[in-house]
Amino acid sequence: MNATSLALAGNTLKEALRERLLYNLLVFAALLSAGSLTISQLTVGEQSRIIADVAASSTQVFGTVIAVFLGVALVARELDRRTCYAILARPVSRGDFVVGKFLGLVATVALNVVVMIAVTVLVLFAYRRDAAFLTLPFFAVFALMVVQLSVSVAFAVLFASFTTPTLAVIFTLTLVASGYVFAEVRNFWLTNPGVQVKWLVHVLDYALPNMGLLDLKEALVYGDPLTLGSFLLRAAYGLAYSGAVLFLGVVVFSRRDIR
Amino acid sequence: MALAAALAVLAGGAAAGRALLEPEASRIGRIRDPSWLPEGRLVRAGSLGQRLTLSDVYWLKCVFYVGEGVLDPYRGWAALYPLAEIVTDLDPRFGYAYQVAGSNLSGLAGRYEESDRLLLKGMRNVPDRWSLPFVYAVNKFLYEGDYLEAARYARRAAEVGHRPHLALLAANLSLVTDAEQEYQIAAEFLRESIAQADSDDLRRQLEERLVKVKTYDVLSHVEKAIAAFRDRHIRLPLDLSELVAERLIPELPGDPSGGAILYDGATGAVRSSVLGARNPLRVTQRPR
Repeated sequence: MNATSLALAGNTLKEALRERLLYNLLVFAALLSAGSLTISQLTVGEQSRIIADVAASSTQVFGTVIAVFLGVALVARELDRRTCYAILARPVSRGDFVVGKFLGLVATVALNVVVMIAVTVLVLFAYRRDAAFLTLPFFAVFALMVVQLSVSVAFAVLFASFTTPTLAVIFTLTLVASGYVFAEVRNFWLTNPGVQVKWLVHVLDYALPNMGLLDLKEALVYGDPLTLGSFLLRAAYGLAYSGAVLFLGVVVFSRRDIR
Repeated sequence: MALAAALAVLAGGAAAGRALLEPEASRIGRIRDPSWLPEGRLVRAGSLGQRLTLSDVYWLKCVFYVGEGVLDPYRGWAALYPLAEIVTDLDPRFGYAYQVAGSNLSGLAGRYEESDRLLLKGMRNVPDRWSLPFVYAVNKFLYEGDYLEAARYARRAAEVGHRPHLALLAANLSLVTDAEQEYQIAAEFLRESIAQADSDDLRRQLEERLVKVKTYDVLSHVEKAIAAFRDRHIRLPLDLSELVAERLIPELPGDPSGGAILYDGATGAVRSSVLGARNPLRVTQRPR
């Protein structure tokens, strides 16, 4: 990461903030979170849990949609309209270009999450009338959500750098979804004697992003304690994983013939 | 103008269609055949990280299902357990779901076996929620007549929830079992609870219950000795000293409640002069 990448990231952030898609999804997510106040009235007991669940889920789901669609769109558009030629004609390496796009997109989804945190805090405060839920684990959950979204962004940038936007969206969503599914089923596969190809499970364990490790919504709902060590280790895992995917993106984009 | 007219016609058509579709609209989402409900584990695997929210969705279905069942007593309750299973497979820590679905399965639906299964699952997954062993204990004594198990789980609820007043219930259930070991366990548990009691009133109640347990233990021993004497001699003992002479009891029993153990040679009944005969299911009212 250097000054060029950061300048490109700044531009990407500005470009992303001009996208209507971002605001449409963000408004929808915020409305859904605020609407959880009404949804929670439909149940008996545990209303606070439903508000926290819906708010965190809408942050995560809409964040992923924004990360994937915006990530693919911004990179693909540069290639499609050939605006990247003007950038790459300057002393900017292709690696700087990809890293800059990635950082700008991560900044965009992080801003998104900050807005959603504000909405969640307002909704929870409106229901509970106290701020006791504003603990460090509360913010750590959302911080890890940014790391989780950075993995989605890294995949979006990787696939957008060598394939069509439609395929890039499909590939990215498939990999992100498989990361969630695998986190749920890996223990069953590893412990079930009926599953013969354990080596494949171990390979997938390292190859796929374990989204479950970056998902602490349960801690948000149940107020589980979260140690700093666990938080840092999870964040380091997510950042290293997205870094590895981004590295692949840099390699692929550097070798691509974009004439 | 033409556009406004077209819009009015279309909107009117949509509104009329909606009104005509009312019976269908109110049937949407209603669970008819529980065998069509998905496996909780499969829903969880495909939840894409949103299992808690999906658990909430199924929980809302569960709440509506209970509400509809109350309004329509002929519908039945076949889907309540499968729904609760899905909710708790998606979120095994959803303690309130175990508690409410468990108590409704037994209290409303009369499906005790399903209620017990759900509550046991809850106790495995949320061991620190005292209401789960409590509801299980209620199932056991109120619906299934298993007082031994009921007493065990009432003690567990008292322990888990740090609620010494539940020891009163546990002790009563132990008294109903009339098992020698239960008297000792109940007495020991009451002593522990007395140490934990946070008010003088509760401490007094627990101490009174301890005296009752000890007294009933003595009465039970004497009753069993009388039964053994009758089996041996085909008659009732004339007085309690005959039981001592026959080595059926080691000595004439004292009354832990401060009175005397009274024996009626004509009927073979034995009672405490203070607490009366052993009758654990008797409803008593505390003096105000």
